[in-house]
Amino acid sequence: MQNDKTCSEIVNSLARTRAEANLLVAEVETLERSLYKIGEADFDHTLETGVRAKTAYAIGQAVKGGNHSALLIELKAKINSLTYLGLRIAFEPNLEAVGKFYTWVRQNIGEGVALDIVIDKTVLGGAVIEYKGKIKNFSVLTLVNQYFTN
Amino acid sequence: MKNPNIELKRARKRGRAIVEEAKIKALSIIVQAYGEEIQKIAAEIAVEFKNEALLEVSRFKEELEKRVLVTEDAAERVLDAEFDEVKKEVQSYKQAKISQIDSQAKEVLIDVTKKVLGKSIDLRAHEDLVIKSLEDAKRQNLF
Repeated sequence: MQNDKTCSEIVNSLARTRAEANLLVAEVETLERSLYKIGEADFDHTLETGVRAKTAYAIGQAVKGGNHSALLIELKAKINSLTYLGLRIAFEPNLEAVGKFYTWVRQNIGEGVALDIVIDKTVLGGAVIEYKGKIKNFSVLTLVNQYFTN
Repeated sequence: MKNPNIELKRARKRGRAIVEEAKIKALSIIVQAYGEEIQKIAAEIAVEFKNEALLEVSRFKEELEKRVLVTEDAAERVLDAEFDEVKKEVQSYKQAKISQIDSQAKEVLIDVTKKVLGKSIDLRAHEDLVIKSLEDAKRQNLF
């Protein structure tokens, strides 16, 4: 139960997009492999040098006094169970923009949904949104085409 | 002594001359007796021929006029049909050209609009547009 809450928090902060989720999975797998190693390749050294600082901090806090292996397995499962909301947009969003979109998704759709952002300048603005196999086009390109068609 | 053959020939010759003379006299008598009547009949026949000829000419003219009218009508119909066909082709060509120009103008406008929008939307506006898209998607029950 505790692990579940902790893993959700880690995922919410470090796996907001598909790219972040893939990176986090790779880091978790690196840490998993280090569990059975000793010396400079052990878990603590790998946590310090083999993953990003923010990952190291979040996982370091989470494994204190707990079962490292169980937490990593649960964390990986949590990441792998994410549902993705596809966002085809015209610009490269900075971290702040990603945060804004992710917050909106969490507040309006719920936990366990990450963003799958694809940059496509031809949409001009707005977004083409895909969720659970359904696609809706709210791009400026579509508005322009509709305007000139009508 | 006279030759009987020669005498016979002379007799025949005289006979023929007498017959010819008789014929001429008879004709002269007939002409004198019936000349006016013959002239009258000949004149009547001439008038009759003339009338028949005039009637025939009149019929021919009438028939000719009818045929000319029919031919004129047919020619007019053919010309009208051809004119309509050409008119349709011109209209169709005109429509195609207008559509082509319309389409090209639209493409230019879309292209210009895209270029202008692509450059004029700043980061903040992009973010707002994405959030608006998410809200529209929610309103349309995508989630």
